[in-house]
Amino acid sequence: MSLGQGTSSELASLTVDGDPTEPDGSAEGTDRQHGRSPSQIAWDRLKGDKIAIISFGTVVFFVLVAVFAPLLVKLEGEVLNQYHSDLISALNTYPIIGANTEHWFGVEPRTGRDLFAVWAYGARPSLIIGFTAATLSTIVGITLGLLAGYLGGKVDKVIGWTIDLLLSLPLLVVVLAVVPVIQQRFTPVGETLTAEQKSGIRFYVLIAILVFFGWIGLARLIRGEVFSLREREFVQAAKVIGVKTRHILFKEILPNLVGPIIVSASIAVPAYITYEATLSYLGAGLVEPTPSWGRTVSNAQNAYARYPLFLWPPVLSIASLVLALTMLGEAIRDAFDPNTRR
Amino acid sequence: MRGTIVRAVGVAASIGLIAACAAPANDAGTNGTKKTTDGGTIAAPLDPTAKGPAPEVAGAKKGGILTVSYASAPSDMDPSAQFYQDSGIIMTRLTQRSLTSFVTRGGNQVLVPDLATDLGKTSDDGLTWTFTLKDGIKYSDGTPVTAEDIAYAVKRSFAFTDTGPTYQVDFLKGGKDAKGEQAYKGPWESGDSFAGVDAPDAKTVVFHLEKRWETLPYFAAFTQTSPIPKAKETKNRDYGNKAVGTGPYKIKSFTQGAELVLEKNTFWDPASDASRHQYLDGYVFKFGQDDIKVQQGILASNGPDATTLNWDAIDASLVDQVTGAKASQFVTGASSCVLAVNMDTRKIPLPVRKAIAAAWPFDDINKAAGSTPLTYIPADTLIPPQIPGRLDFKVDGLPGGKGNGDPVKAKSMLAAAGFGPGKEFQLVWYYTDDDPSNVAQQVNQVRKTKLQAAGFKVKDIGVPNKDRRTLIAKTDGPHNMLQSPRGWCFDWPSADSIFPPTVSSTQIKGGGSNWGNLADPKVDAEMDRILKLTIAEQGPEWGKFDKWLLETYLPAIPDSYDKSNLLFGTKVHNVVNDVNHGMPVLDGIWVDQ
Repeated sequence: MSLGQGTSSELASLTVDGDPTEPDGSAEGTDRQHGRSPSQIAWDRLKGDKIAIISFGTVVFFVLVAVFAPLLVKLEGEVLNQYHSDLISALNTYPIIGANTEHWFGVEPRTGRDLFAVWAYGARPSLIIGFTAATLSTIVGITLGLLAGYLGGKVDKVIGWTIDLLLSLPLLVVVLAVVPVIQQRFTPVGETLTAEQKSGIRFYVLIAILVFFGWIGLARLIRGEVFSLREREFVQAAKVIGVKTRHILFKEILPNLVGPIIVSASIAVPAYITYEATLSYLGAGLVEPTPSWGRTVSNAQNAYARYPLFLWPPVLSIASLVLALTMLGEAIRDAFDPNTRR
Repeated sequence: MRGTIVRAVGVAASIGLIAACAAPANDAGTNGTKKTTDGGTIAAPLDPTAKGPAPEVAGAKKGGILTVSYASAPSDMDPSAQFYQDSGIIMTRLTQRSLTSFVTRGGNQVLVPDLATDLGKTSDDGLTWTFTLKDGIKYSDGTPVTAEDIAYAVKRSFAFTDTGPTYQVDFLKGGKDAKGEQAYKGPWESGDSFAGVDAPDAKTVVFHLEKRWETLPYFAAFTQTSPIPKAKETKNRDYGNKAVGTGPYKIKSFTQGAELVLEKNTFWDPASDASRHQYLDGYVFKFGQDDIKVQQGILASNGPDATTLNWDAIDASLVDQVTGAKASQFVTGASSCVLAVNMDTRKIPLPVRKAIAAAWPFDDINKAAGSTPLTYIPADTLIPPQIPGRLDFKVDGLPGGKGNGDPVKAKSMLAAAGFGPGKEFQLVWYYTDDDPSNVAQQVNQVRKTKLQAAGFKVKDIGVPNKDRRTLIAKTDGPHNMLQSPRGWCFDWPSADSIFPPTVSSTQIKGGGSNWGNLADPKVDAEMDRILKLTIAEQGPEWGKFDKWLLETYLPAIPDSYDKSNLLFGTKVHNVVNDVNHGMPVLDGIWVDQ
């Protein structure tokens, strides 16, 4: 999975025609779009896009599950990480029950934990990590992209080198190697961490790593755009009348880049969610007893033939959430793209 | 002395099925198990008159190759360093002959002469043992075996006491100095002159002892007494990669961590060997395999999987198959290992140890670990059932490896000992936190939750598996329980290979192999007394010792007797468990082609 970098090429097309502040050529003459900002046009388009609405609904559903996980689990009459060993057969360590009214998704083989609780709470790290990392990496990407593009010279070179360096690192290998090291850094000397503390540290380390590698694509895109924008008349004019650099960057240039930024962020979220699941699956993500879909998938794969109920909820959830977010991202992209006409 | 320590390898790690010995292995079905659990039967009687060739297996066909695929990997094939279940069974059954050997008769193991003409003759004072070699024994390269080669091999084993057995250091004359440290360090460091063993002529090996050693004939079945020609050996473990041997097979190639290929040894004479067969054309051992995938493949038995055998613990998802439709492809039976919950007697007072025993959630832990009745039997004692003289008893207050603990009772016991809310007793242990299957982590969570419910304060220290082995072996760490060993596998069917290595006060300094880090003069004195008896007299005395130790000291809570699990393809026949090693009798297996 690309961590955002791969999105730059597909995003580039968005801005080929450049300046969204100019009246949208093809739309000119139609009353509905006349005098409206690109964002408003995009919003209108999105509202009419069924796929976007369905995708949005799916995302909202998972967000609600994550937010109300404790309530839902309480509704089920369960507690997270309660071990119902009495529901496990001593003969083969598989559950003696399937899905029922007390355990909506059944219980986990071997330990007897309620799988609905594990699933509902498991939505939290995926979504929190996905959205937080996407927000932060977008902010970092925008800032560095603007600086590199507008200031040019040494600043641009340094940022450019950094981007090249980060792009050259084999991401997955680096992450697998770095996670335990950083975790060790946060462990006080002579102290040891409990599983809960460890999971907490891993949580922030994951976000940090995703942000660290995730800003590159957006920064490169923004930098390229700013290069062309800064020679435009309205920027030159602002410069001439002595507008402050900060003002030019954020008030003059940035509004022209809203489209690609939103698109980039919306594509980053599903990528990060997939990444969290992958890392947890590989053992570099969150640790027991914190629930995570990725780890549930990892635990469930060998039990699949015997107890498929274990594997399906997290797999379907990751798949549908990522699909919905990606489709939503596509829809936003289309809505902002002046070249797309339906 | 060390004995074969269960150090917990692999997936089953924290709950530990696997021994230092690579894998748990198995025996001939329920019959074999029943016979031995009844107790009382002598598991390894001696037959000094057994003669080769070994009796034919009914219906056995010649030819074909057996593949053995399993999860762990032996680090070397050096007969002097060997002390593991997997490499041990490969060498003793296939590539190396020793002075004595075991043969399976009616589900039991019988000790018979191998390279020697009998099981050794002891002097009146018991301090000298003499073995006479058979005529015409040759190495796999055709050169003759001499008694000097065996004496040299015994001396060479002193260079590998870090990982190998140390019985020879304790018992042979000149093995230790006055301070109890190992004095003779093997022929490379200490030279060839060693008072403990010599070869007065080409056919005679004599052992000179420091103290009586009634079970020396059992030790003589170790590969540490397999002949090594001094001229051909390299002065390190690499010798094992292409060691010359005397067994029915020889090493064709050995790639550490990956593969061992054996082919027939044409210089092996069946008429001289009372315990081994040579049915197959060869064996291929594949190491470091994904055990679940191997097991699934064997059950399906397509192509080469039909002639494959696996000795890892059967995965829980396959239990229904091997107890149902595929029962003919599976054998389970006794292994030599007992697992126990080890507690540090220096740090946890006896009343608290008893409260831990009362609270211990055996069933939940076994379930969380994926252990099934096919892989373990709940244990009451530290001596496993197949040992002669073992006493079948229950200690009052010990749950016998069953049940889920009684948190209420444990709380009241803690209160009686002066601990309670605000003044909880803290248990500290290490656990593996990087088990890719998450089993170790989940077992730890279950254990922690249940003990907290019983009123204990728990500090669980998660460490990577590779560090954990070292950490739990330390006697001065922060942990006060679940220290090494997780279990103990006897080296021969007499409890003198169980207790002296695990509860002697001299064992504590080495670390890693002591129940309860016990250092008590009364315990030492009692063991000294028993060791002076004959083998037959020792049996029942060790049984009483077991009971006395658990009642008086409770250094560890007996948890389970490990079982061997042998899973094999449809074309593999005569898979029989060796109850003393928990591994298959490899040479008796034959295959359809």
